[in-house]
Amino acid sequence: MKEATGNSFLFIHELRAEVCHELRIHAWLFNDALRRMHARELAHAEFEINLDRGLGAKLPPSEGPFQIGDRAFYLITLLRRT
Amino acid sequence: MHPRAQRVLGWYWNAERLGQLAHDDEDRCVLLGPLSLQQLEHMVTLHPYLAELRAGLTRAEMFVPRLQRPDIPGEVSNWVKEPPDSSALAAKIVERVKDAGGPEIHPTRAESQLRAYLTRAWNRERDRENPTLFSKWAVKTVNDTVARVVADLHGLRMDYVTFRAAFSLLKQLHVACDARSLAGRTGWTLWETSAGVAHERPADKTPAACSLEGPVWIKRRLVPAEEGEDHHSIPLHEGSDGK
Repeated sequence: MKEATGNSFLFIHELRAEVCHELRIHAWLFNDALRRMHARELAHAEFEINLDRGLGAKLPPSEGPFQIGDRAFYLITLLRRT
Repeated sequence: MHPRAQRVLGWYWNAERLGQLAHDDEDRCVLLGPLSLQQLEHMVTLHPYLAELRAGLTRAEMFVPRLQRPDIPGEVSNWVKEPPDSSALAAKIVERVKDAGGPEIHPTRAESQLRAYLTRAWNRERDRENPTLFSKWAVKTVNDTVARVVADLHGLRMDYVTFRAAFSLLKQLHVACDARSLAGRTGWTLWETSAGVAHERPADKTPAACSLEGPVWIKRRLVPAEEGEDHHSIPLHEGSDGK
């Protein structure tokens, strides 16, 4: 999987493309895949998902957060496994 | 186009225009109007372009390379007079499709199709006075032509606009999906996201009746379950902690 900025994370649209392409699923199901990655039901060999609840105020109003139940996450990154 | 397919296609456009298609909590396409899922499936079954495109994607994913300005041989001053060198363009297409794991394409076949389509596009009346505008048009036209050639190589005889519209419908129906930002590829990747085979039609029923009265046959591919699935072919796999 390509790394967007050189060392340790992917942009969300790149992550969506990679995950949906590898699993041959529709992009509409990406949130489900993300939830399973967060719950460690699915894992990536090199990267681990990291959800951050902060920074919501800095997002434009058009950008909704990623929701797991009532919890809202505003930043999704993949951290390289050590 | 078959009249019945045309009618159903018309229903779909009307439904979309009237906002009768929506997504439920699980992001599945649901119908708020008089259309049923069977009617939408009916479209996939009967519409020749949709059926062919779905069959093509079932056989293999498609990759349409995206050529940028530096990838196209020659300068704008040359392009004003004639289309870019189709031989060099064909070589790039063949190489990029191969690099993306696509099928082996015979360069001569790709070149001959490219030349024919580009010549036709270049023969159209077009303002060639402004080099910037003409350059943009040329890059876009070359990319549209590349999509048409790749579709043709997958056995789909349709122009770019038709191809794009047919794919858009399949995507809305949750039958296929696409991405333009896959690692290591500059281009458009399309894949099928559903399985299922249309039911065999009894001799005494029309295709429309069979489709509308029968059970839903398109099976959307879901995120694999954590157990009992074969994950060897994908980098996403079960967590190492066994959850």
